[in-house]
Parts: sequence; structure tokens; C-alpha cells
Amino acid sequence: MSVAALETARTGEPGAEVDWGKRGSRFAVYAALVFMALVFLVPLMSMVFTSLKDMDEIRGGNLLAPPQVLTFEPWIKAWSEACISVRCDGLSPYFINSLLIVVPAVIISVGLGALNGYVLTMWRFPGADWVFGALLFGCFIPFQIVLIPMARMLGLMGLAGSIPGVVFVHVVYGICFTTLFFRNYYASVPKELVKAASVDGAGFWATWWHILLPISWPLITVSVIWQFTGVWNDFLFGVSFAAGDNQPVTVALNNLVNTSTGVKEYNVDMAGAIISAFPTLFVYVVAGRFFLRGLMSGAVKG
Amino acid sequence: MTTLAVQDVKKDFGATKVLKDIDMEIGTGDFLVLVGPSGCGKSTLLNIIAGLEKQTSGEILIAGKDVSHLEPKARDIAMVFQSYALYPSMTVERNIGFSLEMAGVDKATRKERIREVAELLKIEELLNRRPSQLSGGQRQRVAMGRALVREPQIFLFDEPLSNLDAKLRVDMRVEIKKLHQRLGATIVYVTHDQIEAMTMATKIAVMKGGIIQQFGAPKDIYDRPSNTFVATFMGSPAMNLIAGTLVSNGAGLAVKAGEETIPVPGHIAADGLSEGQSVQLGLRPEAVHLESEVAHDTRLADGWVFDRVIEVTEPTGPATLALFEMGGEEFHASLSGDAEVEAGQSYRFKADLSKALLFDSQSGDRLPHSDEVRQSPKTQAA
Repeated sequence: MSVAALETARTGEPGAEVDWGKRGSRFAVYAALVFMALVFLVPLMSMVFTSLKDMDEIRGGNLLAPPQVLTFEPWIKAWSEACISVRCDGLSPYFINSLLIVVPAVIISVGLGALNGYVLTMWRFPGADWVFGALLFGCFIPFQIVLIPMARMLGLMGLAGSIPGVVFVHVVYGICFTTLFFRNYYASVPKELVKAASVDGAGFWATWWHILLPISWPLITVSVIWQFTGVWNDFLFGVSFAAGDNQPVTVALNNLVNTSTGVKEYNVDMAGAIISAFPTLFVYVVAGRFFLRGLMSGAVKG
Repeated sequence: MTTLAVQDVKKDFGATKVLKDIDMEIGTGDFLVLVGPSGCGKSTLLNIIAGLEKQTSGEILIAGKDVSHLEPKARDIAMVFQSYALYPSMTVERNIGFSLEMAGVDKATRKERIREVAELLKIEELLNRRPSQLSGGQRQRVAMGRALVREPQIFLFDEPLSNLDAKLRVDMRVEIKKLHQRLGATIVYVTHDQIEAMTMATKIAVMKGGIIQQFGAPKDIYDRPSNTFVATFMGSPAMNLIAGTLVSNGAGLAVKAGEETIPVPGHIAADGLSEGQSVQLGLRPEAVHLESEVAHDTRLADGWVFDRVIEVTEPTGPATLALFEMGGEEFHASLSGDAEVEAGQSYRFKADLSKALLFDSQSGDRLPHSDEVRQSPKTQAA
């Protein structure tokens, strides 16, 4: 190697020798990432494959092998034909129950959380910190502790076993978290915005609606994802407080899979599990798009 | 005509008295600057005038109407904030028109008013942008547009220029002043920057510790500060204070400070002075010259001459600042820009005493000039 070549190699200019050490470490990083991704994807892959096979192939074949003959029968069965307890309509009625629970629960808890956060930062009243402390405490109460008192309360309210009852429980638990999110976000919003709105003649509601909510999209997105995932995936409240036909899809899925009579239909179980998990995946993908950052930049000194 | 009257306003936060008996009045077209160090209560006073904070006691009158207990929106005021506080989700156009929108003004009128204001501030081409797409100076203009569109009795400015860089600040200062002259608007402006106060105000209120130390025209505040605080706060570099005692020097009284004996200038009323009284002589840096440069200036014939070794020089271009020691204190002299001086060398200086001031060491109050004695011993607000 000439002296000139050595020079270029050292300074890393174009045409220099390839730095194998750097390349090697980069390769190792990617290899590790691909491996981790596979570890997470293999169970999902197995679920999808299994749900598309018929029972004969499942019994005879490999768990990770792609289906030889594609069949959508298990999906149709899981959605509309499978028998759950005595009813043979598949998961669809319970899926709708879940929607009827999750939509109001998310809207109400996120709305109240935003309002609480607004009041607790911009319209502080004596004892505001205590109220916030109490709400914060709510985040740490284990679900199991409240089951019996809550059942009693729902009974007194006439909501026992009903969908509104489950919505109520989720809202009560949800506002603790959503209030925390919004309070901390609004605490970083300059108070001068609210003062300016007040001088401009905007009252309590107008300030919230016109000034603060439009800049809360990142937080609304976070809260919606958080609440939607939590409420949709909930099993305990669903199984405790929703009776019979009002049960959410998670409880129905459990009943479908854990049925003790007849042949175990793995393909139907897998299809049902994917159907039940689908809405949360959907929310992540869709809501992520609205996760706009930097809306606040430029409001105040830049 | 009185546009704003503040009467006996007090503000306590628990045991802390933030404002103590604030009393002042300004007329239509006045540009009042509230100036003072941080924590002097100037922003609190502005917020009370705006209605964003409640006074503990006292009244605020705007155009003769008692607004002490009204909401900000009912006070006929507009405010420009330090951070501009533009609504981030709205376009410039909606930002400017928001107060009209809240007041229920119809869309066509709103558009017309916004257009007029945008034209006045030369921001027509920015109307569809959002605040995040604007530069600091543009945001400043939009914030002013938001205030202007309301055509209020009083404009309130809360340190509006402190977030701008030095050059832009000077430009905007001129712009605000032009706007004031053109619209004849009444303005209350809070700043901690004494240069802003001097350049823009028609009236200045210098505040400290919740008290208005002095209220008056910029020239009066600069030439006849009511006490040593005002004297040293207004002006940069600050006024030099030379501590000494009054002695008799045959012709009259003089201030003896260390080895120096400085004759008490004739414009200070002799009546209140007594030998042995401890005083501070106030001398602005620009009143001190190199003796060699003013030797033939007859106006300075009876100036005070002294020798000093310069410790540090700071050439600023138009002036050269020289720092030396006087009676154990630092002393600043603002020499001409061409003065050829070097640190470590001794020079002979001549001070113009025609604008020198005398302060009582105990109270810090200025001792009256002879032309002030006949009316009252102290014409300044305490």
C-alpha cells in the first residue's frame, strides 16, 4: 500500500479502503433487529396460518407451515356461526357490544379528562391540588378491589349487567389517566394564551373550545389510543358487570375458546382471536397519523 | 381628558404587599411607561388595569367609568403580551379577528377591519399563515394587530419587545412610537428597559417595591430624579454618586469627598443645606470630559477639575467609556469617541456641574433646586 493510499484510508475520503469493522457492527445491529422482529412476528404468523387451514391439515401439519389449501371457513364461523354458550351467532353480536362500550367510554373519558385538565391548570380553585391528587390516586387502585363495591353501586344505579354500566365503570377509571395526561399538557401551555383569550372576550367554554382543544390533538390521540386499548381489551369488568347478551367480545372469545364440549377447533379460535384484536391494531395505525407534533411551536416566543 | 385613572390601588398576595397605594392619571394620547426592576409590581399593576388580576382595594377608571370590578372584555382595553400569546391553531387572520368573532361582529365587517389593520401593519401577505410560520418580528406585528382591531380606549403592552433580538427591538420601538403618533392612542407599556422607557414615553412611572418612585415626563425623570434609585436606574451607564459631607469653602458650600472638594452648584437651593450634612453628589457619566478637550469651552469654565488613573476603557464607537475610582466607588465617565485614552494612564478631567444633583444620604431623596423651593420643597411624587 502506498503512502498516499494510507493517507486516504486514514482521512476516510472517497475511494478509501472499506472500513470492515464499522460495516460488521452495522450488520450485527440489523441482524439483531431482524431476529427480534421475527420473535414477535412468529406467533402472529402462526395464528394467521392456522386460521386459514382446515382441521385435517392442522392435525397433520407443522404449526409454522403456510396453509396448503386456503379456507376462509374458520373466519366465517368465528364471526357469525360459532356457538358461544347457547347462542350460535359467532362473535359478531359481542363485537358490536364492545363497540357500544368502547365508543362512549372513550369519548366521555377523554372529553372529561381534557376538561378536568383545563380547569386544574387554567381556572385553579382552592383545593385544586387535592382534587388532582385524589384523581391521581385513582390511577393506582387495582381493578379487583373495586369489583364488589362497584357491583353494589351499579345495582343501586339500576345499571347492573347493562352496557351503560360497563361504560360508566370505564369512564370512572379512565378519567384518572386522561386528567393526568391533559393536566400535564396544559401545564406546559403558556397562561398568557388564556389571558389573551380573556381580554379578547372569550369565556370559560369558548377559551377551551377555540384555543386549547385545537392544540390538544397530540394529547387527544394519546388518550384515545390509551383508553381504546384499555377498554377494548378489558376482560375483568366485562365479565363482572355485563350479563349474558351484553358481554364484550373479550369475554365471548374466552367462552368460545374455553368451550368444553365437542372438538377443539383451533382454526376458529385463531380467527376469533385475530378478529377480537383487530380494532386496537386499527386504532394504532389510524390514530398514529393524527399524532401531529409541533403544533405548539410558534404560539409563543420561538 | 383623563383616560385612565388609578386610585389608591393596593395588591397583597397573602402577607406580601405587591402594590402600595398606587395613584396616577393619564390623559388621552399619553404613552405611559411603567418601568422598574423585576418584582417592582409593574406587571401586576398592568394586569390589574386589564382586569386579569383583582386589586385588594382601590379603583380603576377608564374614560371616566369605574371598571374596577368588570371583566377584561368589558373594560374597552386591548393587550399585547410578552410572549405574544398568538393562538397557535388559528391563522393570522382569525387571530386578529378573534375578539370581533367573540363579540359577535358579522363576518363581512370582521374581514374589513382585519384588512385595515393588516394594511396598517403591512402584514397583508401573512393573513393565511399560522403563528408557527412567522418570524419574531412578524409575530409581534400580529399581536399588535390583534390589539388594534378592537379600537380600544387603552392599549396595554406587557414587555412586548423583550423577546426580540437587539436590532429588531430598536426597529419595533420606532414602529410602536410611529403608530402611537399616527393613531393618537393611549398606551400603558410595561418594561424593565430604561432605554425603551426614555425613548417611547410621554410619561414615565418608575416603580420599586410596589411604590411609584417618580411619575413624570422622561426629561424630568432623567434630569431631576426624585431619589437615588430613580437617578441610578434611569440612564446607562448609571449616574455616578459621590458620597461626602457638606463643608464651607469660603464662597459657599462644597461637598468634601475624600481628597476632593466639589463646589455645590448654584442651581441647588442653599436653604435646606447645612454644614456637616452627609450627602451624595450625582453626576451623569456624560457630564465628565477630558480637560484637554474642553479647555476652551467657556460654558464649562467653572467646572470641577480632577486627576484620575483610568482602570478600564470601553470604546463603544460614539463614546469611550472610562472607568476609574472615586472615593472607593467605581466612577464612569462617557468621553467622546475620539478621546485617546489608555488604561493605566492618569488624565485630567473636567466635570460639568450645571446638571449635578445633590441627594440626602439618609433618605436618598434629591435635595431641591432653587427653582423648586418656592412651590413646595418636594414636587415629586413620593
